[in-house]
Amino acid sequence: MFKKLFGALTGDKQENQNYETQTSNDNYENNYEDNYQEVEYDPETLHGTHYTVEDFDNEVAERAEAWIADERASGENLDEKDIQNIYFNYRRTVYTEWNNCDSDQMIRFEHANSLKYTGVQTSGFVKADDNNPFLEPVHGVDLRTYTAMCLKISAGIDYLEVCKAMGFEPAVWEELNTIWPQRMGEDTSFTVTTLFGQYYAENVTVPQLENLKAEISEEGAANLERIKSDRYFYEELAGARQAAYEYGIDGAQWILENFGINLADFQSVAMQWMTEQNQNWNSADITEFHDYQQQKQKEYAAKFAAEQGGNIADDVNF
Amino acid sequence: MFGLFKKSKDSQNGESTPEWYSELQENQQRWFAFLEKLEAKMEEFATAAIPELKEIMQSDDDIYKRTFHRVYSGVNGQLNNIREKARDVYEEKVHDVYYNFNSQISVLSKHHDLLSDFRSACSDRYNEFENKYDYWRKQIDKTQERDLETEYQKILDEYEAIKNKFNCTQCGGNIVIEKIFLIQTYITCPYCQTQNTFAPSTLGRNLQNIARNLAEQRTAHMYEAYEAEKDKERDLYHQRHELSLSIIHEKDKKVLHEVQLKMDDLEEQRQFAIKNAPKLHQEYLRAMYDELNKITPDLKEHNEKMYQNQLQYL
Repeated sequence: MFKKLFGALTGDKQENQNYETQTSNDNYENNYEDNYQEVEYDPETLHGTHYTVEDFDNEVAERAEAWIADERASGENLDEKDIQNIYFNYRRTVYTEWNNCDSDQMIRFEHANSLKYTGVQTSGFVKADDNNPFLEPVHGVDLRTYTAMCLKISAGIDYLEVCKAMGFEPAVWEELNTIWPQRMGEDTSFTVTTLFGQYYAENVTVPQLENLKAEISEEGAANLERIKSDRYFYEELAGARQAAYEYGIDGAQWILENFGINLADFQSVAMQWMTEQNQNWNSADITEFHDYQQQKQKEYAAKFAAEQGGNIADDVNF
Repeated sequence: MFGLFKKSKDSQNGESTPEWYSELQENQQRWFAFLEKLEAKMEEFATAAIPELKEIMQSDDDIYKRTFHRVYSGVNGQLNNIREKARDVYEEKVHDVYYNFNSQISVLSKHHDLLSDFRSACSDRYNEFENKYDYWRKQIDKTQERDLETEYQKILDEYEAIKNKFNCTQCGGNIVIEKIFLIQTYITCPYCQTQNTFAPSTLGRNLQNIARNLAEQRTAHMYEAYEAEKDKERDLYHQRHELSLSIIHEKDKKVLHEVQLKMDDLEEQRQFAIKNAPKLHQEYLRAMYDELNKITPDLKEHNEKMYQNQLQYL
């Protein structure tokens, strides 16, 4: 379905070339400058600078309330969700109208403002707020440090060693590893979860853990660098991993054995690409990468199938 | 272009069918045979895999059942492969063929029906295949079900067995383990005040993983009642709608009045269902969380927060 929706957007783009990565919010403006050069965006809110946020919110409220009044006058029963949807739609309309922009820019705007308007965070836009009770350190360990510990453990380092480096008893780790996930569940704005993901993508570390390095081969290190800089290579491995699972193979283990990249590093890079995709939302690129991953998944699936003596329905033909 | 001028030609041909029809017939025949073969493969594969999966679920001692999940994922992969094969062929031999001819044959042509019939026959057959796929998929899904009551009982039995067997590392005094601990916990010796670390077994730790599913299983009947109430809304709406259609040409006032009364009654029931469904949902959630609190009393505070969050989305 996704393929069909966006299929028309992709041409025959070159494969296996390094994708030009965009690492900051400012870069995408270069791509759109030609079409939308008259609009300048605030780097934080992504609102056009030719109006105030207050004017924008007022305009949305005015249109939404008029519609709501109209609906109610004609006997419609509107609940909270309907009202939220009405506001959501008018926000899109007003933003697109006022900035004369395409849907990609509108989605970037929604990501940048998701907490304000929908109460839910988007990866790539979360800032740590010291006053948030959900982010209060547990036994003196803040979320950043907790994430750093998780990264080490999922990289294959024994949790006892991680505890030793941090200077606390395993029981403390077990509490941390209970309370932080609980907070992720309790926080309906997803701030804890999203920030954890952001830290994970940054591959954060703390001084106490710096000497704990998961073993990585020379080839593994080179491959790791490559999936970080070459989005096509990352998509290839992600497709391969998925194909492996479909053939009853532990995909994460397979990546480790064949490319020397451990689960923590792989997930970290996955988060990194996801965050960058959120920040520089571009539907043509998203389709391109999605299709590329699918194509690679098929290729690897064929390989795994051959190794296993084929698929069960290979002999059935039209 | 729109076939307006073909009419006379068509009528000359009389009952004869156009030459492209044989291609459609052949594709349809092959499509049916192809799906039949795929269905046979699917059935053969699933009936062999299901007992094997059940066996692995039983014998996999890992609390996360990783071996099971690996095999399970492979089984679904094969099933999916069959499904994709059908989809690809459908695209090429039915969908594309239909659109290819459709662009050449006017909808006004009397032969256009042959084309529409080809597509609907093939797509109906395809749906039938998809239903079979869903059926096998569900049967395979079921192998994931675990006997959580038995697993829970094992945890309780183990707790009974160990609760009086923990001794202080310092003075050797007996320390009663007063509840099922989910993680490593410090316990102070009542005799010499030394802090001891109690580490629960793998089995005990697993309580956290199964608690929610177990609580849901125990209150599943309430969830079903809520789902049934929720479905009533659409159901009653359609019943009322059918009645409203039935009186479009009705002139008899008495009949009109009777039907109107029935419609009003249905609407009343519908409004009741709309209000009642969230109530039943809340009752279910309350019961489920009560059950969860019983299973993991230590997590009550957290559970209650989760309950409050869920209430916001009713």
